Amino acid sequence: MDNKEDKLLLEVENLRKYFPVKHGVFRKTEGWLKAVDGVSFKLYEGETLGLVGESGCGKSTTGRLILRLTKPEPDSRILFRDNNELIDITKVAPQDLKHLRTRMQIIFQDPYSSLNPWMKVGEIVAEPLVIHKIMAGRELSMKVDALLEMVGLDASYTNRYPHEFSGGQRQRIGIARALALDPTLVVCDEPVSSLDVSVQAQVINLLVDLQERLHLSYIFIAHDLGVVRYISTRVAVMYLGRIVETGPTEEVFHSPAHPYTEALLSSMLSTDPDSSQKRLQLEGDVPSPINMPSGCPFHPRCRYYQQNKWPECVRDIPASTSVDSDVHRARCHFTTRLNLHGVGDEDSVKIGVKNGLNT
Amino acid sequence: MFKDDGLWPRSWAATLCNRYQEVIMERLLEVDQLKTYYFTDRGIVKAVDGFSFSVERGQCLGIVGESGCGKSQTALSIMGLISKPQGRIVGGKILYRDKNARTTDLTTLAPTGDEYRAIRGKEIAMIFQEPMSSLSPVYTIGDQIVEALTEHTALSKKDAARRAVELLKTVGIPAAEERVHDYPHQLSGGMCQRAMIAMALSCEPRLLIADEPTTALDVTIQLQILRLLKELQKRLSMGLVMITHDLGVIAEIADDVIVMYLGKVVEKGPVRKILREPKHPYTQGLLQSRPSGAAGKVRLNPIKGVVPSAIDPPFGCPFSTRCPKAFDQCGLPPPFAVWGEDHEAACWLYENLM
Repeated sequence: MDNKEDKLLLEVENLRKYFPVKHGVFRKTEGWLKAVDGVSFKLYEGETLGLVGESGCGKSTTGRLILRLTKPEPDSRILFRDNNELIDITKVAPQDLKHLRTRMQIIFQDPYSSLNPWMKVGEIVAEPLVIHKIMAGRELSMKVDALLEMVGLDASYTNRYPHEFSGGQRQRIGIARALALDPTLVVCDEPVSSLDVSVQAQVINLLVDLQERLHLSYIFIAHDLGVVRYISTRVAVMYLGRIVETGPTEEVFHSPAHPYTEALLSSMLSTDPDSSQKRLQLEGDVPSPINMPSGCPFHPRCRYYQQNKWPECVRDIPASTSVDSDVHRARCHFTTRLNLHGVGDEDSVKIGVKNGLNT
Repeated sequence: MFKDDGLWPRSWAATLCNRYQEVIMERLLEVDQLKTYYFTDRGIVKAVDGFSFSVERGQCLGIVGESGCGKSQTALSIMGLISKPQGRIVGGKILYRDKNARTTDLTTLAPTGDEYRAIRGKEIAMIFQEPMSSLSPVYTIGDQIVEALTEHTALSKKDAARRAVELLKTVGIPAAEERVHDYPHQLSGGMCQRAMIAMALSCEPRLLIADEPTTALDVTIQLQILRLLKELQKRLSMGLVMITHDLGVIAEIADDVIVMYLGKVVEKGPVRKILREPKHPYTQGLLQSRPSGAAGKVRLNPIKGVVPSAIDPPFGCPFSTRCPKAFDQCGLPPPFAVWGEDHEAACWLYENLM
């Protein structure tokens, strides 16, 4: 365990963010939207943690809180390793944040709106280096060329504008910009969601290669479970601002411990036309985070609650309990009693292989 | 089937065409060699370039391809919604067979004319990708459904309002009596998409075109919507054209699939054959690009490059510039190779089968 502690890069404890809900002429606060409500996890060096969940579950807010792009509630703790020293980011004064920003970066979802259309590609990639006064002149332009080549773009593109590029190429520019300062942690907020399938696979390959080469740690936020399963070492499933299940990716995908994870996995579409019959359909929408259901927040949509009407589900908020191993944890009162199904091996599509198509 | 080569007088040809269609299954729509071009300053964009397919009653046809392949332009061509003056249908036919077994070529109708308006929305309805931006933000969803109903049916406003509530119930919107007075921004994405489907179904269309109806939605909601569409299609025995980039959606809902690339058909066939025994390198590439299975096991094998510009498409096989198996002959337009009755792919690799 000690060995592992050495490599701990980020530890988030009881991370919370409430947004006020205001109404009326005087903007009176009438309630709180609990976007993130007590999230805790650890991230080790060189690892990818996948954050999954439906829209509105707080996964993007979590990413932004870690980077201090949004200020968390006072009692949250975010410990980040910088120069072999764990610092609590929430306590860092705003003027000292600038240094921390070189260590952690973000790749945004929409490559169209995250690049300034008035700036040339070279300027976009160089901007972090200029702001932090790390290099200038010839050295800077050489670094920019190297960064562009690293993400698979031609160095001659520096004088072009973002509109001249396709979605996939723009996302590569965004990645080059994020990596300009040699960060150790990169938050990827739905980095491939807006890309075409073939381009999506190219960008995923690039992210995997860069992680190996630069020893990066990723927090990978996505709603596409196939992508998350492919790229993550561990996953955390979020529902209404809380992590309901976390564990090593394959363990969670094969033997989920929370009914929500089971339902989520079941709605993952595969390219097998005969898989449709077995799906469990999750009814209804995510409830409003302003008016949280009592007890377990998932109980109104939970098929096991609907069958059994266990009183605990409505009464108590379930605590995080370990399932098979200490690393696999879930927040469900009845996780040991339920027999939940994950994805079978048949779902990992072997169609191509069968037809000798993997040449 | 019927080709207008100028030798036959039009009326004969049309009679023959109709007779032929009565014999075979209830064919709703036949698109024959459709060509939709955009005339821009930079050149001619061949958005749809010689695309043919047909849809029968109760059939779900999936059209799959990457963005820029002309999937949506095909849908807009059928609906007569190609934006003028740049866009124009320059060739081909869109034959629609109505309730009275009368076949009309939609390309010959004026898009704003009464005839087209009687078909669009009533007989052929469409669901768009982004429910939030395709619904009007200044009218309640009830008003918008009522508008469609009063436009196309003889229902009075009062009856139409009652029907709107029924429709919202059909598509699974809870507390429909209250929701009918909501504006689109008050509903979630999934609920908005349901309202869109309710509107599309309001006049009981015989053919429904769904253009990426679930792309903007969460996986759980996506499954709900796909199930709903499938069930409604069976119940109303509609023809359904599902346009998507996601082979997972195709596997879930489609009976037959057309794979489209740069405005052309590259492969078509029944869903099981396309997904289990893909023949065209593009279809194979699309399947291999999908991350599936466990982390780190296999490196993804994506198609290299991006879809080329439709202004200057490659001569010959459109996929030749990205194809891992391309050879000299791919510079010429490939004919279709056929497996069994219904599985076809346009690729020179299978020349011996042609």
